[in-house]
Amino acid sequence: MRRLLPADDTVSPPLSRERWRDRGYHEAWERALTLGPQTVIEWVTAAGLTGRGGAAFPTGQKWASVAQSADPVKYVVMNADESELGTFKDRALLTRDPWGALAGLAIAAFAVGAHEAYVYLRGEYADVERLLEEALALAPWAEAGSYPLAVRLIRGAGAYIAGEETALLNSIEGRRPEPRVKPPFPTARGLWGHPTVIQNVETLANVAVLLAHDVAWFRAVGTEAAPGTKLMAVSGHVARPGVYEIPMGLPLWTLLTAPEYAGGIGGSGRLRAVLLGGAAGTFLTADECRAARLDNLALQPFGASLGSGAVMVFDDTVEIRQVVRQVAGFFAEESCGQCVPCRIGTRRLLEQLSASTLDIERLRDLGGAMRDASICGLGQTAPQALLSYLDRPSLWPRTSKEEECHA
Amino acid sequence: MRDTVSLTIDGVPVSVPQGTTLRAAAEAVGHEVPTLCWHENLAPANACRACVVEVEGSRALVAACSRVAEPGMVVHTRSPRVERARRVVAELLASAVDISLAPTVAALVEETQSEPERWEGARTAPPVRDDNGLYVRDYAKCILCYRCVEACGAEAQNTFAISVAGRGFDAHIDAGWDRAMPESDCVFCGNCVAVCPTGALMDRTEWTLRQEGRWDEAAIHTTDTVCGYCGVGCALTLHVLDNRIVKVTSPDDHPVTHGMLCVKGRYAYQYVQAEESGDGPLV
Amino acid sequence: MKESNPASIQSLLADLPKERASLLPALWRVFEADGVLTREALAAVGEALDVPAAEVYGVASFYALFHVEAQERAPVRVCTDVVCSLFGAQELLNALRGRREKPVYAATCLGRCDAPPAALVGRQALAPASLEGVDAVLKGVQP
Repeated sequence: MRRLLPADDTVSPPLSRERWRDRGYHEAWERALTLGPQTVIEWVTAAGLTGRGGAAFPTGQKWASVAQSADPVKYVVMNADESELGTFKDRALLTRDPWGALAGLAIAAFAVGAHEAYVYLRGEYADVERLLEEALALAPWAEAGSYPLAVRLIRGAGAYIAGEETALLNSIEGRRPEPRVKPPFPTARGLWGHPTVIQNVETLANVAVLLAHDVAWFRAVGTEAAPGTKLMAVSGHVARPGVYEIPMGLPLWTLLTAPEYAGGIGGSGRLRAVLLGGAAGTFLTADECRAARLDNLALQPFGASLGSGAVMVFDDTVEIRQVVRQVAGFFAEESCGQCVPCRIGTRRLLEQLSASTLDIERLRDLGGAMRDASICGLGQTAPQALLSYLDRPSLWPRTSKEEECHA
Repeated sequence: MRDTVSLTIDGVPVSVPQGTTLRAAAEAVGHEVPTLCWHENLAPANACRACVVEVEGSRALVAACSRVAEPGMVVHTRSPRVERARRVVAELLASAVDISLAPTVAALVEETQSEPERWEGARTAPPVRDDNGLYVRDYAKCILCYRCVEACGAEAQNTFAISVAGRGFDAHIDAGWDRAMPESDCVFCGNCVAVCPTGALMDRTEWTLRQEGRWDEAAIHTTDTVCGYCGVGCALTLHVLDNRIVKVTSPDDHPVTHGMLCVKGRYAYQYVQAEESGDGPLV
Repeated sequence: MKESNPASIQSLLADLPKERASLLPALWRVFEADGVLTREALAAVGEALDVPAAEVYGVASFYALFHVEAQERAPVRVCTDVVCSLFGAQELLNALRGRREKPVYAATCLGRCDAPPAALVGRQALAPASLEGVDAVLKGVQP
């Protein structure tokens, strides 16, 4: 399934004007200008598009609330900070088809009435930065001169938390990238206090392909509740790691094993578990991987969600408890330190997981408090992978001695 | 009425003026919510999370110090989730920070029947910084409530001499490059000391007397007066121990100062007590 | 390595609006010029943008890619996170640490899990990274 990712036989160079036209973005932009802001938002709403960064918030609803604001100053921001563990879909998308997300950004700005846009790119992606700089210099959406839009590229400097939308705003403003308390949401008070739409790269690319076609086309793949496609970043023990575009609702097992996707379990060839959704994700056992379908509704019974689209695959030589400890290390390193549950809690989780035996009740207590009381999604989801591991004793160390330690 | 909001707190219906925080609304029905970082004269930092409450329909708990009451909200200030969060917050702080001079944190530990010993691990333990004549910084006692940063910055003093630096467990208050205060932009108003809830920032006089075992809270009496250094009319509360002024504060509810003073009002008393003339910056 | 001085920083930042929002781009410019954010440089950035020094330091010290102490034009970082560690990241890190005087940093996920192990040399990404690959990039950037 290829919508966001160009087909293999695409010959026009990624940053060429031919590509802008080949991919239908010229038409999408013209169509948006013709339809007018309100109808564009109606399309996005009717398409059932939801945010692809992890939170899956309805995109049309976000835009409508900013468009309705009486504030004459509005902003749109493309969140390309992609720093979630195991996630590289936005890098792949921007590299293989940079115009898509940028066309979506222009359309978003037009739809909500913003004349200034920002692209916030993680600092580790220097290769993508060069592409985006070139793209912004060409700015094919400015050709018609029909909608004034200034786009600025901001380079991050190494901070997972800067991908949290309000921390991202603080980073752009030159402040420490600590999350702000919500409400007010950025749609009401965002950059410098003005209404702001923040969307993930992939969400914006979806807007562009939607406007290049129509609502019925968009909804023709995926599920009723989750129309469209999803980019999945598959890594670890698979035959072909990479970014794959799937119709929402595809069986996870198909993504892992089909020749057009990851092509089968790698390493020892025997699957132990998948960490789905990133650092804030959920472990699925091999059996669950055979049963799960990839859309948020279908994943609910597993206590999982698509999250960032990361699929980290572990063969049966991997000790999952070690992965859990590494995930805890990731959060301890990336916590901003603003609130107590996350600042001290992420450190304590790492310490507890580095001990020889685990006190499950204690870990659940801490995990629950972090999930409930942290300011932002980072602290709230930091215990997620651990809690999913505790819920799946079949992933615990296999020697009977270690099992006793757990119990 | 258009400018009031009706909600339910712990089953009790209550109407409050629009813009009232859940903390204030809970207080109105007599269900006090514990706070650590919140200060009546500073913008809520939302950092300690001791004041979290459960709002029905909200996935995570919300900070009562900053969340404003909305019509129809159903709020629980003592639900099991709330109590667990508070207990863990207290445990985490006590496990990482020296709370011996932090009465609000100690009270929370007590109230929630916390067991900080469950979380033995890394502690915040930088050395005491005694680098100026007026106050001492002992960040092993710092809970990172942001009060000092706010008082130094936009909320009161507008000096911006300190900021949070670093991140995660290593986040800390810093005047820049861990430098001594006399090398920083500090103007020694002591407003950071006034708002510090944990003894991490302490007037040097109090610190010295405590070191010597001569600080006796019970023996201190206070006298209110008006500062005579200029015409603003700041209210001063002189704290007197053994016939000597050992500390000057201003009432938090005073309409002029809101508890804030300048270097003269807060510290210039030292110069009338000869044997203790400061060796720090004579601003 | 010749570091920026207040005068050269003024000219380095001359075209940036004198406002807080210029702070992150300004820090990048100075860091790329010097390979470090020295105390003098940060103070000059604060002067140039009218941001208090303590806050400039507070921001600079937050980000993992900035260094306020060690000096090197192209710091080496090896991703030792979940996926890369399955594919020899720790061994690469150890090997690099064993033969370099300058520090080699362990990094959290660099977003290159499709070609592990990943590394950054300065801002250049290597995936998969090897000793030889790191050497080749370093050769190109050393003065």
